[in-house]
Amino acid sequence: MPCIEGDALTPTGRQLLEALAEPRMDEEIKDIIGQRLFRVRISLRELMFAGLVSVERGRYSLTDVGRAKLEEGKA
Amino acid sequence: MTELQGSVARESLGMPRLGMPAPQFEAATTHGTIRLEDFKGSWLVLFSHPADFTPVCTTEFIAFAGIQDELREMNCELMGLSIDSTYSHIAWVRNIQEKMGVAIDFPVIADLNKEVASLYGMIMPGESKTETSRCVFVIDPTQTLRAMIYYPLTTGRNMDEILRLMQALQTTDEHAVATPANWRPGDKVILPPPATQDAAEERVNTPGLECSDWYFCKKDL
Repeated sequence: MPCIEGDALTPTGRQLLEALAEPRMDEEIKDIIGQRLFRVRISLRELMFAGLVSVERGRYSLTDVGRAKLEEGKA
Repeated sequence: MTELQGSVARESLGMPRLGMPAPQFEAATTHGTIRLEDFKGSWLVLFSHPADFTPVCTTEFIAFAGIQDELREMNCELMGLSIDSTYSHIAWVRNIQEKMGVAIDFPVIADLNKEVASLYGMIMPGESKTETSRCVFVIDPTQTLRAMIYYPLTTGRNMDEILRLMQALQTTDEHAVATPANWRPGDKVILPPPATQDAAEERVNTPGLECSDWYFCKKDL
């Protein structure tokens, strides 16, 4: 399930970014969004590639671009 | 070297070995780009099939889908592979859903350049140079290759055996025991043979064991 189509977040992408309200490990994100762990990792990689998410010591967090993208959808 | 021998040598370069790290890869799949490392922390049954839209493979896909829930209860994921495109996989998976009513929920690698197939020795040039044989690789949560099964193009695999193999491997890991022929969960397990004379003496005098001889002892779990 892709997280981004064109320039827009898919529901999966949005759900994942929303789960990153605070920095989290991939296992925690899996529990929050109820997806298989390997799928979470695929999605995180896609979001990192798009510059929306970054990782430090195994904890994933929103970048400024990611935060703005989430807000964009709410507007 | 004949053409076939040369081809065999090339295709066999990456033959994996039990107990060694599973060869890492990144591949296009029906679920997007997947790396083997995405499965770290879970068991993985990686299997190949000869081709999409073929009858034996279709029966196998339906059968793999049938054991997926049981595998997931064992913290084990499933992933298929063939030398077909992602579009072919998508069309076939949709066809299985439409014609047979079975949803295929596991990713399928589109290994058009045979990269993963070569890494894992899935191509048997004596059978076919353009298709992968029916291979199964069991990879543990540390990404060590723990078991391999190879079946020819003509013979569909036995899902009960794949489940039994997973149960046996996990029992071995959890209890440091081995499992005898035709073992099923609930059956007695085998203790590793003692390595010293003292240990052998101790073994035959240990209560609760069923020993035919010092090297051949079983116990209930």
